[in-house]
This record gives sequence, C-alpha cells and structure tokens, in this order.
Amino acid sequence: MIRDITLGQYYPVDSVLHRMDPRTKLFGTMVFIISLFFAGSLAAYGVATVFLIFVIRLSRVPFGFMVRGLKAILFLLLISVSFNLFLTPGTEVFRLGFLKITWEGLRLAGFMALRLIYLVIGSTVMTLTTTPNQLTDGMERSLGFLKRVRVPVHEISMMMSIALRFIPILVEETDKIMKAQMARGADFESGNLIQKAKNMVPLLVPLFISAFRRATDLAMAMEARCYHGGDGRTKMKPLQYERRDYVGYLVCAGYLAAVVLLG
Amino acid sequence: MSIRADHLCHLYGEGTAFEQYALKDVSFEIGDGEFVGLIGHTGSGKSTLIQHLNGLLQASSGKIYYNGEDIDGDGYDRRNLRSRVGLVFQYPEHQLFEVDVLSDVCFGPKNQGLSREEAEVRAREALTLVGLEERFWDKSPFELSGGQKRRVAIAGVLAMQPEVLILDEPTAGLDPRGRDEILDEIAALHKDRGMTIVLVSHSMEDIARYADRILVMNHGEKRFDGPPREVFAHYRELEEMGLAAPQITYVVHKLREHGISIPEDITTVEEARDAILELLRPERAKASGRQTWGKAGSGE
Amino acid sequence: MSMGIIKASKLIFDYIRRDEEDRIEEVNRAIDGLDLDIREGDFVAVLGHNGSGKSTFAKQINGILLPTEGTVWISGMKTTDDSHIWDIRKTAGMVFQNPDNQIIGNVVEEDVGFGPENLGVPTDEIWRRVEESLQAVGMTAFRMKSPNKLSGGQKQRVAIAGVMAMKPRCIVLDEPTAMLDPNGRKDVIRTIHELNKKEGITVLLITHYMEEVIEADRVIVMDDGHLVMDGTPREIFSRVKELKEYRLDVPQVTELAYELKKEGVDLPDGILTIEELTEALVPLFREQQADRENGIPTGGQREHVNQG
Repeated sequence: MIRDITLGQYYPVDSVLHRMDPRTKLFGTMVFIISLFFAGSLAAYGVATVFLIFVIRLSRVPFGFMVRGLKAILFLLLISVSFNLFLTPGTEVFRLGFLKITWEGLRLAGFMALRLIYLVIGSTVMTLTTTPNQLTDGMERSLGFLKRVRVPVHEISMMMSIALRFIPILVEETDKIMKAQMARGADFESGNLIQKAKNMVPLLVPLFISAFRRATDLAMAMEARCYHGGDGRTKMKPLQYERRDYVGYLVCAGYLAAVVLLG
Repeated sequence: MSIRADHLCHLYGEGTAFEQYALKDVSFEIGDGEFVGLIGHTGSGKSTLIQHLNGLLQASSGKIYYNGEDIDGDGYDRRNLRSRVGLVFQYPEHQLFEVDVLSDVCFGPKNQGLSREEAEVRAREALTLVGLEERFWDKSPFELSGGQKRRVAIAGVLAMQPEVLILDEPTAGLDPRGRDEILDEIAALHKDRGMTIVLVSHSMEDIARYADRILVMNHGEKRFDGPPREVFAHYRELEEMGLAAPQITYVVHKLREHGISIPEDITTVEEARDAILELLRPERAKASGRQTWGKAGSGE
Repeated sequence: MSMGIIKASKLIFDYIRRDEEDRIEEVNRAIDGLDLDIREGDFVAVLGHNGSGKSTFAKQINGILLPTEGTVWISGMKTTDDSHIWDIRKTAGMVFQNPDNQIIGNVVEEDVGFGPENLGVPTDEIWRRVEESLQAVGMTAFRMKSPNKLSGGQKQRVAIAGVMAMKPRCIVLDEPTAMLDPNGRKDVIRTIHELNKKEGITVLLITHYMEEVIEADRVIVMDDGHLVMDGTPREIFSRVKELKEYRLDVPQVTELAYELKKEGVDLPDGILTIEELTEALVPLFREQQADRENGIPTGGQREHVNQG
C-alpha cells in the first residue's frame, strides 16, 4: 500500500554515489530522464539499461529497494501499456474480438513500459543515495540564480526537506487513524465512488488536524533553535565538488551523447 | 463470553530478509468479566496482539475464538466482532473528526446500522459513563482539554456497547488527576457493568491496583500469566525484560532481606501499610479491628 | 543585586482569543504574578497539573511567548528586547514534549547541526559541536540514522543534543518524557542529570512524573498560574496532603511513609527512595522484635511508636 512508496527513503550505506555531490546526482537524473525521451531504438535502450545497472551497482543499495517504488505506479503503467498495446494502428499480430494487437503497438507499449519503469528506478536511485537534506541543498544551490528574481529558493527547499521528513510519519499516522476508525465500524472498502469519498472524511479530518498540529509544533521548535530564514546561515555540509563529481558529469554527458546518437 | 487465542503467530515482512515474529505461539483465554492487565516493553508485541483480538490484524498462523467461533472462519462477521470487542487506541483523541462531541460519539453506533435517534441515545449514555458533563456535548471536540477529548474518544467506542473493552495506554500524557479519573471510570465499567477489560499500561502501579490478572509479553511471546502478586514476585525476570514491579514490591523485598517476615506478595500501598502496622504492633491492630491483610504476623 | 540565570518578576500572561472582527472574546490568565529567580547550575523541577501554567512559563523563557505584564530576564537580558532574542534562545534552549515534532533533520547528525547552522557557526566548528553533543547524550552510534528509526527516548536525546550544540547555559524541557515508555523516560532523565553535573548546564524540567524530580536541587509547584510551593524535593514531598490538593501525586514509597506516619509510626519527613524507607523501618522492626523477646508487651508506649 502507501507504505511501499520509497521516494524520499534514504538508504544509508557508504558508496561513491552516496558521497557524490547532490548537484551532480540531480544533473545525472535529469540527463537520464531526458535520454529516455530520446531513446527510440533497442540499441539506445540497451545503453540505458547498461547505464542504469552500472549506477545501481555503484550505489550498493539492494535491487529490491529500487523496484518497490514501482508498485505505486503499477496502475499508471497498466493503463499506458494497454492504451499503446490496443490503440496503435499497424500490422496485426493477434486479435481477440474487437481488440487487436499490432506489431507497432507491442513495440510502443514495450518502450513505454521501459520508459516509465526506468524513470521511476532512476529517480529512486537518487533518493535512495541522497539524504533529502542534501537533495534540497543541491536544489537550493543549483537554482540559486532564481533568488535574483525574488524566488524564495531557500524557503522552498526547506519546505521540501521538512515535507520529506514528515511523509513517513504521516503515512504511519494514516494507518493508525484508519485502524482506529475501523475499530469504530468504519468501512473504507465497499460502496460506490461517492460513498467511498464520503467514508474518507473520518480519516482525512483527523489527518489534517494532526498535520496542522505538527506544523505548529515544528515551527515553534525551529524558532526555539534560532531559525530565521536563510540569511546568515552556515552549512554543516557545504556542497563542494570533488574529482568524482567531475568524472560523474563526464560519464553522464558521454551517456547522453551515446543515446542521442543511437536514436 | 470469552476470547481464546490458540497458538497465535504473527510474522512481519513474511518472505523477505526482514522477516520477524511480532507474535510467537501465544495462547490464552480471557473469560467473562475479567480485568486483565497487559504489560511488556515497547515492541514486545502487545499492540500487535490486541489488534488481533478484534480482527484488525490477521494471524499468520494460529486461531482466535470469540465465544467459541473462529474469527477468521468463512463468513464470520468481523465488523460485528469489532463492535463487540471495543478497541481504544493510544492517543484515541486523534481519531475525533465530527463537528460536535455528540455526533462524533454517534459514529460507531451509526456504523452498526442504528438510526440517528438510536445512536444519540447510545451516545448520551456513553458520554455519561465517561463522566463528561452535558454542557460539552454540543461543543466541537477540538475545543476540549486533553483529558476531555480522551473521554470523548473512549465514549465513541463505548457507544457501540461492546462486551469487551481493550484500552491501549488510555492514560498516556495525562496528568495524575486525569489519569486517576479515567482509570476509576474504567474500573467502574468493570465493576458495575461487568464489562471484560484488557488494559495495556506501562505503569505497574496502575496494573497492580486495578487488574486481577496480568499477561506479560516479551519479544512476541507470552512470558507470565497470573494474578498480580504472582507475576510481580518474578520482579527480577521482569527487570530483565525492561519492565519492573511496583515500588512497593521492592520495599517489601528489601524488608525481607533484612529478615523481616512481611508477606512477599504485597503490591499496593494499602496492603503494605496494613502489613507493616500489624508487624509493628500486632495487639493494637487486632484490638482496633483493623482489616489486616493476608497472614501477616502469623509467623511469630 | 546579583541575578540568577532565569528571573521572572510580577510575570502575568493572558491568552487572548479574538473573534473575526478582532474584538476580544475571551481572556485566559495562564500566569498570574509569578516571581522566580533560578540560580545558574541548579536542576529545577517544575510540577503542576495540566493547565497550571507551567508550559506557558517554559515558553516565556526563550521568548516564544512574551509577557502581558511584568518581566522575564535570561542571564540579564529582557525577553522583550528584540535585539537580544537570538542570544536569549541560544542561552536557554528548549526541548518539547512530542519527539517527532521537533526534529527537523532527516539524519540524526544533520538535525543536531541545525541550531549551529542557524547561528552562523563556521562549518568545522559545527562538526566539532555535533560530535561533542552526540557524545554527551550517548547517541554517537546513531549519528547516520534516520530519526524515524529511533525510539521515543532516543529521539528526545537527539533533540537534547540539538540544543546542546547551540552551547546553551540553560535547558528548559517541557514534559520531555510524557510520551515515552519507562525505559525511554529513565534514559532521558539520566542524560539531563549528566549534563547538569558534568557540563554545569542549568536545567528546568517540567513534568508530572513525581519520580523524576526526587534528584532535583529544587522543586517548584505551580497551580492556577501561581507559584504555590518551592523547596527541596524532601521539603515538597513531606507535604503530601498539599500536593494532592494541587492534583499531583507522590511516589509510592513517599505515600507509604506518609500513611504510616499518619498512623503514628515514627518516620522522618519526606522519604523519597526505597532505601530511605527500608533504612528507617528496619530499626523499628528490630526494637519491636527485641521488646517481644524481652517480654515487654508490644505496642506499648514507646517514643518512636506514638499512639496517635
């Protein structure tokens, strides 16, 4: 269920990837996502696969953790695959009543599935190897130029970092409230869509209230620890490029070039 | 009326590397009208256990029988079970959601299929039972104090008129007076209504005062099961499990180490006071007709 | 005149509720004329039932709430003086009740570094402080862990380390153990006693667990916004009846000693520990035994067993 979302779940081991600068990893993830949209041939997907396996091996995170995130998009995956599978015109391979599967459809659906799966695994690799704080630090620095046009980059990244910290807590809380209401006879499964939505009220109201209470508490705790925005703040872990980061940028650029060339 | 757990096991993360027993071969039977204290340190399996008793969690193996019926059996009505075995979670006030107190307490009975009027009758009764004054009934539950919110939440379960009431640390975070009030009301439900109570608590003092039987859980296994005096006599083993006995038990054992023949199975302040007074001046205790405890002083 | 690290004079605080048009709807006086002076280095416990004003007072100490009337000084600085607010918060750190809602970092060490980062401490110094603070609360082994993987007691120790990293002179803990199990509670209390003894940090511990205050230097009881009792634990706990009037309770041993005294048994005032009680009781039993062996009728008019 919701517990399976691995996004924002840091996996603490020591690897080259873990030690890499978050900006490099952000760049790498972006490059990987872009490459997936360029890839249109088996050869290109082959390169992407090799690259992904290489990165996963580098991260030293068990493969099982990578694929857990897929469960969350299973529904989306099924829909997009079946759309492509059944609605692409072309040479017919198989027919079942009014449904027909074409060679082109198979190909498109396969690529679409790979694209989605790789996209999720690729970004999961980043979140598993980067603490949310490093991640937001990375974004804050990479997007620092936006400060000049008055975008509150620091505040946004702080908000994201806090959101990430509280996701697991709120997930657990959801589970608890759900059980507590079920103990009072609540039913979250049966009924039509409208009824189901109505049945969510006893879950959602307490959840929102709890989230607000936590937010107020947290704001007070941050103030008590002298938080007053980004001005005059120093960093415990300032971002600094090392040799491995330059190598990382080179590898990513090389990879993107390869995929684009192979089409 | 009884709950019987028969070789109950619960496995977390079955089939993965993180496979772990939350419950391991737990068997017991809770009879009609008992007041059972359930103790164990955090992660001992007690929370998992109570969620099995009303069918919120399903056992990996083993069975639970309610009134002799297997609750995981085909066609068993588990929603009905949940209204007969009421479960009050920790910090139950976090489940409140309605616009006013009365409506919130009506939620359970309405889920049982009662009409709004019938539900309100039940709700009024339940709110009276937990001692919440009528002037609060049409207020928003979120305007109440912590102790009052907790009562509303307990009433929300009571309004379903359960035969068994399970409470997971119902006094956590309350001040001493709030704690005593809630516990006294639970004790009254047991005494006046004959309700079966299962009380999960970290306070050995509270358990000693209210429960007539204690179940001790450790690492998912049942370790002790018996009346408080018997269980607390194992205070050394309890300590090894990260638990303790009430302070009074330690006083009594310290005195016995000094060769004073005070009965070793004393667990409350009143019992200890009477036993010590009787030892210090047996004649006076007899003359005043004071109700003395146990066989204190008979060893002379 | 010398002034303690925390001083409050004629402190009054009202919670004011306003309606939509900003008109005052309800005024709740949480603190009502509080005078208090806390000596640097003391371990002070504040007792009081829910709603007695003790948490409101805690929030006055580092300027989260400001007085309606009267003054609070932290090491000589007025909390109402805007220019000192960060110095005040640095001097008097705070630990709150809910362990989850005060940890900001997603990794233990990053959370401990949060305070010093806000203060603009240089990077090398932050690392030194994080190291020392984690050591001081015994959480070094967990420095790379996610706070979500810790027990309640461990989370609170991380929160304490987060305050320590700001090099405070005083820590205010607002019911830090209310949501913990007995083991977590013991760990947290032991940790703050160590900080008090080894580092000389002034501690203000707000709680309603009586067994947590018996080792304090000073106990303060609040009721209805007033300070109603003030003394050593022994002095406070010898006034069992009064404590009960303020909706508090006492440790079981203290209660037993009190009950026995009421019955005329000659015990010293304010017994706090199991050892103290048994040490006081054993001689009484011995004498009683000796009397019986010597044929003196028991329960007679002996000075230590007053027939009340």
